Amino acid sequence: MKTNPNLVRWGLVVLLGAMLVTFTQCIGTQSGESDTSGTQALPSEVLIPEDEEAPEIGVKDAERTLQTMSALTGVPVATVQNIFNSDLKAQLPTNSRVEAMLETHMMGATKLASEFCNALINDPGRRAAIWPTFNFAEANANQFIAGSASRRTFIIQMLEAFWGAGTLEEEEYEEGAAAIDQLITDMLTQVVDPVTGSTIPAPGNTNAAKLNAAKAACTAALSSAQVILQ
Amino acid sequence: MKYLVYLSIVLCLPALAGQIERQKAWTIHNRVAGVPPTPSMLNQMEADLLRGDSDAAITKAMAHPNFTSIVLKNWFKPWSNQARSAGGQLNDFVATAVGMIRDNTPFDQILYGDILYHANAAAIANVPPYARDSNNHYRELEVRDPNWAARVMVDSQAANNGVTDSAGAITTRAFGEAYFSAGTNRRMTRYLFINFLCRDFEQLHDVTIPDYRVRRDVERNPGDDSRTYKNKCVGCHAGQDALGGAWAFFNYNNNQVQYTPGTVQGKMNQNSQFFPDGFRTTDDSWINTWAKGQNSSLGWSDSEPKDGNGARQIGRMLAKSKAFGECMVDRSWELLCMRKFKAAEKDIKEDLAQYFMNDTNYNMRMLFAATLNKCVIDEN
Repeated sequence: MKTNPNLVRWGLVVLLGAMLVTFTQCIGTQSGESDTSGTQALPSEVLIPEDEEAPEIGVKDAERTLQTMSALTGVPVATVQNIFNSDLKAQLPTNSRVEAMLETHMMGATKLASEFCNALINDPGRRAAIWPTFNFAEANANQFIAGSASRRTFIIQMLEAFWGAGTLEEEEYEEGAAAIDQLITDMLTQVVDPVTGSTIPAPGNTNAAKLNAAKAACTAALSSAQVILQ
Repeated sequence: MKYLVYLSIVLCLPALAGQIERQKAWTIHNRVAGVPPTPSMLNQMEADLLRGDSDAAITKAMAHPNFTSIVLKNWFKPWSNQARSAGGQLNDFVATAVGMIRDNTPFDQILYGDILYHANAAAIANVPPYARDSNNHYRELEVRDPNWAARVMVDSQAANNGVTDSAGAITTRAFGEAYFSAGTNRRMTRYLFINFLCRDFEQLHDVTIPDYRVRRDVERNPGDDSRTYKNKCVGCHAGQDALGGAWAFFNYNNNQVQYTPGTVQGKMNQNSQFFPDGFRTTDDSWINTWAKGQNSSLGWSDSEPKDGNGARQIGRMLAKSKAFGECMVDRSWELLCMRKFKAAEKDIKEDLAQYFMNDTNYNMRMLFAATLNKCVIDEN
């Protein structure tokens, strides 16, 4: 069968045209001019879309949390530096993004707060700066009798010291106070473990029980959102 | 009865207004100084805000030593390592950047100033003096003095590290260790764009840029397919290799930045067998081929040359770009407002960038104050 020369000719033309269209990137220019109409570098920012909630708060990183708890309790950083460096720093946030906050960060903050509160409650001078009228030295836990003015004063003075007086609505202080009040009750009375069903006996009306309850309340307030968020 | 209602409303209003101001003061102090204000400071800042003088309240927060020694320190640390970690030691770049902000030095000089901050070691026990081949001075300073930022003083970088083409952050030991060590010095270009223009190479990718400055170590037909080079590789290399000539005389050796004026470092021309006809680096000249094409939108200053020699000139070109100003605004906003800009706040960002570059002459503290005014003071 004889090949049609016109067909071959047009086929070559089409092939050549296709090659020119396909391989235009091989044609470089020395002048650097290029058609930029309608093109822009991709934006650097990732703007939060209009229909998406943007967090208005952040979380304090490890060093800020350490400095904050030290400033609020008056306990020097050096007192907890060793355990902070060896154990707790790794359990605290590394940046301020609240979306990246984990439960382990909460536990890290609680542990750090317990270190500061232990040092605070055991130091007569420092604790008097926050609770000037609370009788820590009394050989019983009567200062924490449920519904007593001394218990109420202990809680409010602590919240104002750690959360800032007048920075929150009254309801928010009361909500926090109620939770801490319940915590003190749990620390001083017999409770039943909801998981195991076993009974944890009351610690007794002792000074040690009072100090433990005070440390627990302090830890809860010091590791709360008002302190570790920003 | 009506009188009693009005009286109760009037008596409550100051308390309501004070609570809002106290909350804002609490927030500002926490974000600026990293710690809550003392009761006395809280009262002072509240009074400033009630008087309408938010700048006074913010200035009080910035006076706290933790603003520089902790907040800014941990803000800058990730800029000085590839891992973007704040867990490393204090170093010369961080100290310099913090010192510049402390002293209200125009922050564009972070990329071209002959600036270095270090402490007077003789005044601090157990802190060794600054050395160009060691970070011990800064490591010990951070450990031994919580208020280290009050101790550092400005000095000539060239006089201390011997790099006559000193260019702020670029030629610090920390940046040299992170971005000049080993490799081909392309890492420095990339991280300058990431840290100071808030853009990585993927965002700058432009295959329309002429590739006559692409070096010989870049294969032109990777995987035996030249289309890969022309459609992918050239998009980054055409621009970055043209700029990268600025680092021709730089390396990081023996724990220090090495500068060999007139002698091109071997790494700049290594692996030349891949494409022998490619660009051969013979001096520290550079060209900004990204000044045209899509990347012209980075806002290169008309008054700055788009080509030059060495680190200081390229640093100045980068620092005078609109992208630099916008990037500093972006970073400040995330630092102080705890989030990125919302889509509806694009105008705020542009206004802040213009304010920072034109009205304040790159004053970071004034930028911080303006940022807090926008996202804390003005927020309901």
